[in-house]
Amino acid sequence: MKRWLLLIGLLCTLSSCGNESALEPSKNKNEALDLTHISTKDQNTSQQQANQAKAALSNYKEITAIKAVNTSKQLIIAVQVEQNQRLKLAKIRKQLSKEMKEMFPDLKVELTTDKKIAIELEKLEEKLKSGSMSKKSMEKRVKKIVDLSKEQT
Amino acid sequence: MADKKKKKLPPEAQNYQAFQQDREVKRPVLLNCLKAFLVGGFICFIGQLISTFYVYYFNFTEQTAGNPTTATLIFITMLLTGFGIYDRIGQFAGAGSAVPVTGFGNAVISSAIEYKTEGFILGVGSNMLKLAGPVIVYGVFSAFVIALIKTLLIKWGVI
Repeated sequence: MKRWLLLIGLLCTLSSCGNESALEPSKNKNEALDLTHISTKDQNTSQQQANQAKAALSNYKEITAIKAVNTSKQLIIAVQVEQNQRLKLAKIRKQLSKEMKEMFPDLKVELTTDKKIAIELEKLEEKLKSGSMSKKSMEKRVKKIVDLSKEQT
Repeated sequence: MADKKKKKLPPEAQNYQAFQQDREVKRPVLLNCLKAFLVGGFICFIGQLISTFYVYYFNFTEQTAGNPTTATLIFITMLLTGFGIYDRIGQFAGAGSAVPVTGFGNAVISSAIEYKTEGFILGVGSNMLKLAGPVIVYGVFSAFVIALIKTLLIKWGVI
């Protein structure tokens, strides 16, 4: 009895260690996705790259929400993943982060799956959409969020 | 080893052992597991709620919310231990209440309360970690061993 339980436990552990890529892009767009394309009147705070990143990431049906903001040098993206896909969270983050870095080679790309960063980015997106933000204050906010996402302890 | 010990015993003692083993009430292992699972899971659920609260209303990320969550849970355990409620939970749930960080907090706090009569330095100070000390020692030691194994495996290119 005990030996069987151990064996089953071991199999369950090992079966999650496959080496296949964590996510595959699907053909049809995800309908229930939580994202907004931001258009700003001010050219200085243009969110073109962030919108591109959102369009690319929306091909994955496992992603439930994407928040992204970019400055002229940096792009920060926060994705939320389906609950049962969260078991592979680290792998998914690694894969998407690599993909985004390849897509924007001349920007500093930061991709996280952290809820806090998503909340902060959503607030920032709202502000950008209402047009009440200057380039300088946006850069400051983005820097703060990037610092927050890198905090470890 | 148990068999070797048994053979040295006189026959009456062997008979008695067989007799009492027949009549001993079996522990309800599965039921205990279920209780531990439910109560332990509920404690973790409360922890998740606190962690989410910190993420939404304070400047913590999912990564950094762990520390204040642990502190809050231990604070709640302190109150529950002081009022004598945690003992009841422990009696009902067993490992379910001992394995999460609340069990560790309970071990520290209950011995602090117990030894208060012997004074603050020689009583509380020296006995507070009597139960929890081994947890820290072997926790750190096993973490060290596992880190060593992982480092070696990475060096050899296995993982």
